[in-house]
Amino acid sequence: MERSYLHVDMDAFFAAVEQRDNPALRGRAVVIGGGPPPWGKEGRQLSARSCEDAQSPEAAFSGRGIVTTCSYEARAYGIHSGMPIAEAWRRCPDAVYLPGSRGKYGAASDQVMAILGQYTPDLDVLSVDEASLEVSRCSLLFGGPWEIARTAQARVMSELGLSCSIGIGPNPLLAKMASKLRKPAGLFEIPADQAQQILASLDVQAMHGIGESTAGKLRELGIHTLGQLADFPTAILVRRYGPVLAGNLQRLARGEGGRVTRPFGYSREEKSVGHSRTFGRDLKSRLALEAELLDLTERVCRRLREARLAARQLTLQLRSPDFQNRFRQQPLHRPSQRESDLYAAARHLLHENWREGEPLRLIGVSAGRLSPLSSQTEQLGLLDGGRPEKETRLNQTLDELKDWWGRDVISRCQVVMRKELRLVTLEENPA
Amino acid sequence: MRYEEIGDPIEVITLFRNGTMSPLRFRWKNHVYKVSRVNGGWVSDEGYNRRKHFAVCAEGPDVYELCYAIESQHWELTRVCLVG
Repeated sequence: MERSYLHVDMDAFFAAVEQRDNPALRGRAVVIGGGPPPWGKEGRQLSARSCEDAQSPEAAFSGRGIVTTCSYEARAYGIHSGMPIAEAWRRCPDAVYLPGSRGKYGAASDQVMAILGQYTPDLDVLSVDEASLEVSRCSLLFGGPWEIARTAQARVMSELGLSCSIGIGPNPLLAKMASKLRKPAGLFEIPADQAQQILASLDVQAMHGIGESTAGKLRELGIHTLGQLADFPTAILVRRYGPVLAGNLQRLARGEGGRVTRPFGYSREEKSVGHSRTFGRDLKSRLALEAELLDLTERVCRRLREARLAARQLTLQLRSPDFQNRFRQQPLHRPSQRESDLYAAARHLLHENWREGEPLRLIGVSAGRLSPLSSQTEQLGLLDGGRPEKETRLNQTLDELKDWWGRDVISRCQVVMRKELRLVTLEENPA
Repeated sequence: MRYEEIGDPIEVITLFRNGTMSPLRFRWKNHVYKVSRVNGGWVSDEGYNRRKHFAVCAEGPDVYELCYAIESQHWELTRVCLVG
């Protein structure tokens, strides 16, 4: 039996939800962004007109957040996901800037997935706004893939007021590619026998799984399109990238997605767990940096515990105001998911690699070399006494409290003082 | 257009039908607003308190965000988007 997949991709999802909930936003450039709030203390929306005292984007946006997503009207100004919000402001000061609401988008996503789940049990929710459906066995109930795609798209629009693009393909990869080729509100199929022909003229970076870095290296070899990649001598690619990556690249270029439903090279198993924070103003105080470090480490450890993973390595990222990044690593003396172990390593790395008073724009903590938590990885040190067990129990209690009451309900004192420490630093060293 | 955070308690006439609830009218500052359309709804949790949020249009172009706290059974006007 020939397999058929649908890939459903919501169009500018977060912005579309905002536009649905507030009709006044329809037809306007809407930018959803995270990071330090440029919207003022009250969480209000800010636009160039309402912020009369803003002399420049920098003045208005002390925040250095990035664009999470934006409406198609904003994309006309060249605004895109990942762009610094201050840059988006420069390009379109009249856009409506909103901080976003996870609860709102999560609820809308659940509603979309509930509709899609009525067509097939083989629904793979890839993210909050993307899903892959295998519909090969649903034709007797709902018709062929085109019919299912049409009705699902129409239902999502009529019942939820949201637009989506749907791609149809013989494998999840081609279905995903197809969904990108007719955005927004598009329906497109890449049949198996036309896949190579359709893909051939596309830029290599259009392929899901080939990012900017890989695309740049391929261009160095004179490979600009997927057709060129598919026809390129395999031996040269193998010499450059190794047999596994070379083989995968050429399979991708031929549209042979197999059972790949995840980005190329992606595994459900976490390779690392990290958090970083860009500061509204550069931080120079050791106390403030240590407090930030502890907060980030707590977040990392909590995610490790949720995934029942232990880390064997810690990486500290420091970014200076001129965007120079430093990554420093340190092995942990035992696999761990405890704040005491990870924070000690992070603090040590900070002291080794940062000089007193040096301003930092961003700081990040990442736990690597992960392994599933087991009694062996939980091995206690000889001199630890009962401390790790006590800490584990304390962490369990803290996690339960945070799960139930929210992340900020209880924290270590240093983390609670984090924002005050930043202010003290600012008063001492006004930027 | 600007958003105003309100946080005032309000009185709401609500329709419960087919397992869903939707606000029909609400009274805020002695003025009754007739809900012309519920644009969207979502749920947020704060410990034991589950809140249902509704983005609604009433008279005029403004958009109102109403919030119902299930545990305490209180309605609140969370914020208003003033258009124009």
